[in-house]
Amino acid sequence: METRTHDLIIMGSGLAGLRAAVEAARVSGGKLDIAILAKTQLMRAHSVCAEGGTGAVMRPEEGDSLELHAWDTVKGSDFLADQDAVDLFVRSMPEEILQLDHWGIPWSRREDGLINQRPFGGHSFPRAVFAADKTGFFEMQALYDTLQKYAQVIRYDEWLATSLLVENGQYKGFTAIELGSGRFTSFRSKALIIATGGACRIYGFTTYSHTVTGDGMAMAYRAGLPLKDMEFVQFHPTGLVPSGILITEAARGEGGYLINNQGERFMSKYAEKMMELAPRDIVSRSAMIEIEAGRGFSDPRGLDYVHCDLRHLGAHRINERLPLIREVAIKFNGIDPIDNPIPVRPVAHYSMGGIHVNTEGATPIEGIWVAGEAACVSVHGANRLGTNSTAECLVWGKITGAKAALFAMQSKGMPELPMELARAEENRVMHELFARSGSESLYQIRQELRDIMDNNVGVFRTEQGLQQALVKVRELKARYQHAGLQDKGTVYNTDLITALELENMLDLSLSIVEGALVRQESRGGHARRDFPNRDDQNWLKHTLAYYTPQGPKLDYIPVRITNWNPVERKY
Amino acid sequence: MQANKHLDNRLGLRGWIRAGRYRFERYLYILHRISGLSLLAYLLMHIYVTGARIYGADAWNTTMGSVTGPVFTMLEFLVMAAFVFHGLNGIRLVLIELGIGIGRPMRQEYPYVNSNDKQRTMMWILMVLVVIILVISALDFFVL
Amino acid sequence: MDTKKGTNHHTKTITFRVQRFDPNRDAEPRLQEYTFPVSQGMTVLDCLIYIKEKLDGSLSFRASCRMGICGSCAMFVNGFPILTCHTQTFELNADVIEIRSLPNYPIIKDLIPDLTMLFEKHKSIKPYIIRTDIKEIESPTREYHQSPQELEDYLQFSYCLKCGICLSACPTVATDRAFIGPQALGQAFRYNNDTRDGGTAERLDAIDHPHGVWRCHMAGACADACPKGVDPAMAAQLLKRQAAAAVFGRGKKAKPAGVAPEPKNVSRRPNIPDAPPRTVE
Repeated sequence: METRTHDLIIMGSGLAGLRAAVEAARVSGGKLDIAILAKTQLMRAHSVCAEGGTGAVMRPEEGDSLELHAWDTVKGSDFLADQDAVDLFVRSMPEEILQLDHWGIPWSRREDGLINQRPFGGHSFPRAVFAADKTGFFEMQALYDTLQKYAQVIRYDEWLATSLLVENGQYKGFTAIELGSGRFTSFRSKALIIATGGACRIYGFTTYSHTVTGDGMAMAYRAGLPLKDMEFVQFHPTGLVPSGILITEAARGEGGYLINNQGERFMSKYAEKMMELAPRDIVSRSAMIEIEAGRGFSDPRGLDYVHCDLRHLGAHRINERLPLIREVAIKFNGIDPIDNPIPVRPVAHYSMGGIHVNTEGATPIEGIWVAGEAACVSVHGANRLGTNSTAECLVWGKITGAKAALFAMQSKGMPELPMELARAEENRVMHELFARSGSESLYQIRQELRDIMDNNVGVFRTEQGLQQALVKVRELKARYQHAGLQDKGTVYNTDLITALELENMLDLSLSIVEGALVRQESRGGHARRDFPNRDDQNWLKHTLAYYTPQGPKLDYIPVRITNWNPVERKY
Repeated sequence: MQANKHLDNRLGLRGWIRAGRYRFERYLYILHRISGLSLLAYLLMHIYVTGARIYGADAWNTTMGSVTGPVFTMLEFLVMAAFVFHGLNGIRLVLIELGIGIGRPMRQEYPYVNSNDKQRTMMWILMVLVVIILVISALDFFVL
Repeated sequence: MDTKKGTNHHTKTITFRVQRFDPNRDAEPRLQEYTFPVSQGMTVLDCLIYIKEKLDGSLSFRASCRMGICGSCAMFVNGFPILTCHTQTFELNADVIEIRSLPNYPIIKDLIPDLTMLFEKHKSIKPYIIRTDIKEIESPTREYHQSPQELEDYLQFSYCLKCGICLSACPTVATDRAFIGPQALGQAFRYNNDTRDGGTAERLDAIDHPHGVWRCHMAGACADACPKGVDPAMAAQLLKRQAAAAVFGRGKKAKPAGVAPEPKNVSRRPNIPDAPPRTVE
């Protein structure tokens, strides 16, 4: 087995990964050998799908303030966010917006030549800095392009990491497959930043790219790092039916309505003041209630929906501010939003949970940092506000990039790889998986996993449904052992990728279902029908899930409340 | 990634002719090349043939006599065709390369209209002109 | 209100002839046929996923965002390079659909091209903001001034996904692999036309060589094939004009835009609340 050595390796090439790579390259000033490794090509990460905007306080003179952004975020999180982290987050954001401007991002502009902002859900000020409705894409592009300046950053496009090599609680390296050749390789480095994104492709109806399978989370989980708050999954109110493609919240931020089959703007019943711009958990629940009460439009596939109506915005505004949404609606549904409302329903969109890290993005294992959606700092608590995810990626991309680079520069020796572990992993991936035979199909198991997660671990949850899901996921995990590969080749074996991803998804699903089952309250994105109220007495705490072969072992840690005590959440 | 191990999938010259369902302009690209090379070939031949004049009127008449007949009329017509096409299409290309007739950068609205679409009217006008001139010259060559 | 829209479910049996190639087994690519009923609303990518999941797990292709923004799934379908996720199968109006790997790129396996060439050409034109005010760039104080009109002067070129379609449509790339290609030219123009940038001269150097911008002869194929309206063909022509003007010492861009001035006469927006007072000390 070949071993490759770098000072600092960044796993994942999304917004957080690229930001970390640029920052590490800047901080180290050419003194570090940095690598960025991802299972996709660079620029294919799911971050390109972020649409609406990035939240930052840019106009204090117009009434915005850091305190207000922090308050909106904390209130949006249903008070589960760690408030010291939120403070750091809102303080760091304005500079990130300017930094991207200086790196060439085409931020949408006001007539006076300043960066424009638009309203977004749960924000008391129009705070979303945006680049049409392709904000994530343009942010990725600005970072990718800027990264081209730094010769010392080596790209590993299309390398799939399979396991972290952690020995006696010490980080040593990891193993990965080069997809293009099928070569199994071990990597060692002084520092590692995991920025591999969320996990919600375990849902069938989801906004996620096909590639978002929580690989980094699952690897860290199996290596002994705890996952935090996994039961909190964000459902975005407006996923295009039937594909699940995201119809951005900016559609409502620009003035779009949500309409039921009675022709009512139904949000008036649920969030009198903020209407369609209430936080996503509230809007999603409202849309689900409408649909379940028969006030939605029926769909032959069972994906009943409501309408997102943009017609009153007019062609010019839609073309200028929401071009991607329009193109998507035309290409995928044959509907032009200028003339017709868009069919939408709540859709799995974001994992609030992730690998447990401190406010610096550092994990309990020295040498490993986590940034972006893969991490849970926690800024988003039980429900993330729109615009705060791309922002989080930028802030903690920068922080972890700098911290990890400094750590790598200061640390003396390169760790020795535990070759036994690496060889065992090679054997598991390259021999056992290939040798496995059985009648089960990976794709069938994956489909059943997605179905059960969609049906039982969705917007509303019940004890019974979660119990069923737990039994089902365990059964799927057992069946997974009998699913062989159809592709026995080594070069770009997407069957093998699916097998490894599926294993990750199964492990993460268990942590989500288990966490949701035990949390007997409703908070933010976790809504229990049998426990409809928030219970600060017993549940104002973060869930930690530790991996055991039998399933997750749960533990709890307190929320850091430094500014505001929980109050009732009204919009 | 080592490219040499994989199959090289470059289209090569085949890519000029049997490319796929592209617009007309991509075929004008190859026609422009062919007509250009033909004109060059003609020019060399022309210099060689007219060079016979150096050896006196007799040599000239003999050489000229050997390049008459229907085949050569046809070839001459093709030279004419190449010249007309290459010249008029060349005007289009010069204008385009100067940035004329292809619009200017602007925010795109779906369905997208590109520079190739914008120059299409000019292209058709010139191509119709080519056809008209060639029809008239064909009459001149073969009928009158 | 019309509730039936987009929900009439008709299906059609379509034969897919899909290019297969494994460098360890095959000397030449071959076409394998799969026939199954396709229902309305399925994109070409959905059909490939169907084949992978239900018919043949050994087929390899790239796919990620499935909404036409990541650029993974570009393929050569019925003689034209497209983003497969972005194309409805019925839109092709065909009973037989032939899917091949993008031409002009080496094939890694089946439908997976090696796009290294694309990324390297892109890198060669210095696709980033070049300025001399290092201090401002390293620790920004305010945004650079840019009007909406100035933004729209380069915006369309920044739509580029790096999907690689333009290089497989380009007839010049077909015969000259060293040709810098439409993608890189588009991006060179994008940065040259950005008022915040001051690197035009450096970038013109990078494209003004025997395999540079002058090899473009406006076949227009890149612009027609581009799924995002980037129009690299226009960019290439306008770059030629820039390069020619530079030779005559003309058309020099004014200095790159500076930081925007403090806005004057600003008033607080109406109805903005204050953050509630802290309740924890």
